Amino acid sequence: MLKVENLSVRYMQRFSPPVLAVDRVNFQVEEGEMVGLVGESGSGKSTLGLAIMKLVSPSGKIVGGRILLNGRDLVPLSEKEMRFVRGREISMVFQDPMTSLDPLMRIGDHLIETILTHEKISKKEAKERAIKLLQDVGISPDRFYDYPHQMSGGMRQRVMIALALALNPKLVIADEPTTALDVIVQDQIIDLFKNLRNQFRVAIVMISHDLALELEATEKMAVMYGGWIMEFSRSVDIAKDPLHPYTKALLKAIPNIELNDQKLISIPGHPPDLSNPPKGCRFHPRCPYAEDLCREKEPPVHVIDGRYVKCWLFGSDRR
Amino acid sequence: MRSFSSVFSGIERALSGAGLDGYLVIFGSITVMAVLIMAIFANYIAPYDPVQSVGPAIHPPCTKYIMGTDSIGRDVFSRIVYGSRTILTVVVMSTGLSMVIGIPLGLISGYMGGILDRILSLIMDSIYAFPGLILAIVIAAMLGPGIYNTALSLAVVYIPTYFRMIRGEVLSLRERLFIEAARAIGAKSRRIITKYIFPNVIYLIAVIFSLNVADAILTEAGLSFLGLSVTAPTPDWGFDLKNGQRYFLSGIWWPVTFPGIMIILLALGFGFLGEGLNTIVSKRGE
Amino acid sequence: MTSLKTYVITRVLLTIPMIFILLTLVFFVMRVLPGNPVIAMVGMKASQRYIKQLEHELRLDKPLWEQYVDYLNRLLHGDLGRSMIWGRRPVINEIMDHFPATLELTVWGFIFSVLLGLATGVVAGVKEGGKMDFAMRVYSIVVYSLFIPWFGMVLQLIFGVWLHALPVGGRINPLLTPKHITGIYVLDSMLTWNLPALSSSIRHLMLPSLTLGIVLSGIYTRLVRSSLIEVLGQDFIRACKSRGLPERSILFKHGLKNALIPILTMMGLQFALLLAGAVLTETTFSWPGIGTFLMERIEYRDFTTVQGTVVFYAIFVALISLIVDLIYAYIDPRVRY
Repeated sequence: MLKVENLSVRYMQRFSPPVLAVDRVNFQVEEGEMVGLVGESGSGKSTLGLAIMKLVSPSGKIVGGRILLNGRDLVPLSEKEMRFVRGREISMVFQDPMTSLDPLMRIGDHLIETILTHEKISKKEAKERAIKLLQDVGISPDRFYDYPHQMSGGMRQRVMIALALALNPKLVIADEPTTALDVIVQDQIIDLFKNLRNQFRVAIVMISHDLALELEATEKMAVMYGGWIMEFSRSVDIAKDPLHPYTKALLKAIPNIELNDQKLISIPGHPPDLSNPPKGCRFHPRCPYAEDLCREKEPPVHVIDGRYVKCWLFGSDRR
Repeated sequence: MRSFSSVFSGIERALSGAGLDGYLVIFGSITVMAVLIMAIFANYIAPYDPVQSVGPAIHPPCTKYIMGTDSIGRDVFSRIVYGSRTILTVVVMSTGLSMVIGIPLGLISGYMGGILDRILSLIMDSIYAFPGLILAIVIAAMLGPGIYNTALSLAVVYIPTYFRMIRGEVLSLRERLFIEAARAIGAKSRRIITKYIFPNVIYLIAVIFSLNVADAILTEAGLSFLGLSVTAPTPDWGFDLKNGQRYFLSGIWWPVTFPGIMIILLALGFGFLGEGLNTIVSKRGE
Repeated sequence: MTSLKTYVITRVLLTIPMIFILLTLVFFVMRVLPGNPVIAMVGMKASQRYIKQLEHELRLDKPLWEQYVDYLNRLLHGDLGRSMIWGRRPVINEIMDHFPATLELTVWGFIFSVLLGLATGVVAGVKEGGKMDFAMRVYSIVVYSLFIPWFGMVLQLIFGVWLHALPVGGRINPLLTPKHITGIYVLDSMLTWNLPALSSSIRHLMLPSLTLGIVLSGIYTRLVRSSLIEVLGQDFIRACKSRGLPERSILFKHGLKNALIPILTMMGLQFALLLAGAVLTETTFSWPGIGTFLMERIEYRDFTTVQGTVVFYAIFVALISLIVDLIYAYIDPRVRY
């Protein structure tokens, strides 16, 4: 349904060189699928999420590639044309629910406004649908006239989810939807996403730095590092048999309760500076398997049993 | 000539990346410098005695009197040149006084906090909320005319401007790491304020100064226009403008237009300078 | 609901020290500054007996603190004293004769300045750092630097003398003065359905209120611009875009509406600037408001009236800032609920 091909996004900065935050990225999402996008902060995962909706301007720009939504490329579309894609075909849930709602607008009016912008129905019908949506995300209809500041973070995120689902989109991009919430609420929100996906048959791209969460919630996932997708495959495969050294390192870094004698490992080193990325493979300075070749040439993408991995350790074209 | 071009390349470097704001700074500095030169070398620039009748009354601008003559035959241009002395003296004295009082109070109040800070802030905020020109009018009326009295009445009006800006900046500086560190090693308050905080507010003072001087120029001119600043025959732009008002609508435009343009140019010069500096400094800070 | 109550009570209570400080300041300026106010008023040449008599009448022969207590006590009872000239009318009555004219001028000036400031500020703030942004920033400095008397006279020359389009002074054609209800001519002539008076008063208002409005609009340009830039950079604006809302509704319904809240909190201070500007405007256009009244009484050295007028300004300013803050509390749901 969604197919991202060779997508690149560049950010312009006033006092430093431009940064290629997303670099020739490929991945796809099928209908009703929950796909994870995982990586450290600065890996380009949030930029990729925003780029799919073409929301990276004014400082960012899509400089190459295609975003195919049911076969239609979104990249050449004008802002006006994108307006009818946003909300209606793809919608988004943001990281911080505290700042993502208009503080001067009632919760219900947010929903009604969104519905009436895109659909020619009466205000009464829109209100009925808004109340139904609030119920779907677990908010009682008597909060309809509340202002955002009267709600907790978890409830506001539920409202954001209701807003994202308001127009029955095919795809919801959730950018770290639980990071700003406390742990118990996090689980509730993830469960809500799982239920809604089944109920609304909507595909979800779940962006997170939390690999454990992604492994539990998603069917497929893309692991990002330094603007590249390093590995893209089914989540069960990644859990059982990670291919890329970076994925392996991430998995080791998950605190494992069952093996409590194993000490907490974080990956040594720092994420790359994308205004001056390392030559060759961008992970090589932190990679325990790095060879001379990795320091010299960018690794190609290999397809192994339907899994994608961008690393020199695989395939036969090593020289 | 070489030294000239090197000065310009120096300025160019300083303003590189400033974009259009660079032009604001250039325009502002040239205007301010021009008026300053006018004031300092008034006796060389002015062709006539500014307080003596030197020709026919209400003579339009001509080669002899380039800005014409006023209602009693004084040369408008000479009065403009000498008038720059009056306005600059008043404004420099008053801003100086406001700074000398407002800045230390702001530093102490912001740094110390507590009850002293609350009382001082309440007083300053109250004065700040009162229409500045009206306060200046009353003080000037009670003190009587004269350059020093005018400067004093303007100074009272602008003390809160400096106080509030400096205090706000100190409040945010106080939480910064290096101040905390200085406090942790037991540095005395006075030392922290003078050695660590004050150097960090100097750029802010430069910006407030330019913007505030623009304001003070307009207030001084306002006071003079209302007849509360200097007495005849002292040359003063606002005062001359008032004296020309009577004849203005009957077509005698020069005794009003030229002083008016000077007031606006000088205010504009300082305004552009402050705005340009402020934008450039805050861009750099990003 | 309780948070709103607390806010209102705190705000009202805060007005009291503010008025008190301003009254003290006025007292200080009028009595303690070097020089004897009576001599400042009547001049050195007046006879000793006359000076003594005036000093007694103004209670200047008492100790300072007693004068101060007495001054506050009288104000508490709404007594601003009596004028020292011309029939010795109560100062408050004299002020009230002139206040509607000033109110009318400042309200219209306020409307012009806000409209102009909004338009220019939005143009500037929509695209920070763009050419229009720079142009509007220059606009704001240029209009603020326009010296009011000079700018007013230029408008008089253009629209009054050259174009013969508008009157250059006064409030209304005196023959058309409407029946006194509020003293605000535009309002009175509308209430009495007096169209000639309405047209005359609006025509007289145009130049002075435009002068005041244009000069002060620069401040709103800056306020709107910086506030709008801040709001447009916030998360919820991006969230609005992600829902496919039209550009226009994002800018006005969400952006500008939120940007106006902090501007509203500064309206009180802006109104003070308006009052100060009104003094110069009134003098330029012979507008019979409090500004010209104050200047006239300063010239006549009418000590009590000058003091009373300044006290009136102080209370007026404090009340305006109180009202503005209460409106803010009513509008912003974060305070209201």
